Amino acid sequence: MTSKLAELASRMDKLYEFDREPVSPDKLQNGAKFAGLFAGEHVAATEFVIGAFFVLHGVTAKDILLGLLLGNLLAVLTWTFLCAPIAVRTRLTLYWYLRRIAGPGLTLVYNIANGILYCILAGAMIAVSATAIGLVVGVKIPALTDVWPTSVGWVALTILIGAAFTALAVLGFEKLSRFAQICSPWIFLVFIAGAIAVLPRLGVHPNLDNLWEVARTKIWTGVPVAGQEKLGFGHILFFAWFCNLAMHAGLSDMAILRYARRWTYGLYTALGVYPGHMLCWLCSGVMVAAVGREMHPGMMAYEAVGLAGVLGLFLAGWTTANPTLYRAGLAFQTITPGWPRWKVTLAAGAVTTVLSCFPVFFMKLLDYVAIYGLILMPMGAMVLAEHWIFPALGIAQYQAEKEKRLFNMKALAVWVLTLAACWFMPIHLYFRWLPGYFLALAAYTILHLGRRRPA
Amino acid sequence: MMRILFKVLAAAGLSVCLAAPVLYFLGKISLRGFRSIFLISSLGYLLFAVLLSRKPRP
Repeated sequence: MTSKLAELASRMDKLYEFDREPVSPDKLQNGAKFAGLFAGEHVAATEFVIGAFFVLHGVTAKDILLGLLLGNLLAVLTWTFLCAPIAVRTRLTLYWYLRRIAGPGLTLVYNIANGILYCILAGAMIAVSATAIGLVVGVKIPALTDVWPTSVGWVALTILIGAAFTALAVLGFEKLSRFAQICSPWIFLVFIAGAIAVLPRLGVHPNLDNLWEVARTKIWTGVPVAGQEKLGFGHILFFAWFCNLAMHAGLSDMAILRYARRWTYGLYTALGVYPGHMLCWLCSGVMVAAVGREMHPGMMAYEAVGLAGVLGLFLAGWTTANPTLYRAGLAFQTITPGWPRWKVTLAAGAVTTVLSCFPVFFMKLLDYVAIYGLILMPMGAMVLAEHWIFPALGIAQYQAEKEKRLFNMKALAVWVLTLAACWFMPIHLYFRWLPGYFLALAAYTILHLGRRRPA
Repeated sequence: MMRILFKVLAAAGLSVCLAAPVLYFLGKISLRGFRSIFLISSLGYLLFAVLLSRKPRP
């Protein structure tokens, strides 16, 4: 078993070989590059759903504006003060840094968990695209409370779209990535145009004198639709904060920020989150209010901007599912000996396509986003402890690497313990990650106190 | 020369995509007109941006 794991871990190392060495000084990028890179991020198909769900959950206009402003600010600060300094000091990806701390075996487990979570996310993106095509071909989309596939038509549609996305990802990931970069500013405009275009239908005057009144009474009314729980300021703040938890507190974005000249480049993430996780969410909220608060992204986009909206939603799903499928494939390549990249992407695409048939992943997207971040977050906390707290307390760093351990059992224990504690916390799911983060930080440090170097 | 032209046309497509809903909101164009303009300028942007992204021949 151990030798098998060691073999898998070594195979995984080979996959990530190209970024094994720390970034050399001549490869560092300037601020303008980071501004451009982050500006195109966070405008995905799922933004159509998230902003609309806030309306369905009865958020008030004041709560959404303040919650998104502050929540996104906290996310930017987390990137800047947690992720960027470690990335700039180590110049490594999370994968290679985690390997030194958690051991190659546990890093493998983390990677596979990440791959499965990516598949579910890509499945939700396929489902969002399916609502656009479903509108054109007349397939009824599932209701908010549906868990299982609701009709043969829905299953056939998601399978067809999933198969098409997978086939295109297999045929040319690189070309699709370039196409995604082209689509990104236009998809952002579909959100903006859609929201502006439905304002007259909601009764907003051309001089905007009643905009706030309409926002308060017709869009973010404070009244949830039947069967949806009421969300408030705290929920929105935390959602905006943890929406990219795996990337900032979970440290996945070390892969990008390791190229930064200074840790302050983390502030450039504001150029991505404010347009994507504030403007787009507000716009999709406006669009769902204009279709009578019905969760149907295809209908929202069509009613707002016509056929271009349907195209926009389809392309948003496609261009964001593509890199997600690629990342999932990369994670799974370690457990499929000798498989070429196309075969692994095909397998990841097949799993993703099956998942996309289940409306629960799309209709419970807010909860899924919370769980996704929660599962990966403890690793980020442990890396933070090992990087900053251990030297301050005189604890030897990177013991797993020095002792050539396959598994850092303490890290595994803290990961499991944190997730178990979060599961039982008597607070809303959205709030659990924060105490969980501090729990992981404290538990990992305490477990290593016995290894302090004598003064 | 062609690249500059594609760049200008792609930027024009995006600009029209932004202007069209504003004009509709202000009541200057009809809903049908807005949707048609938005669709055509969107396709124009995508076409010229794709042409622009192609590597120039050596």
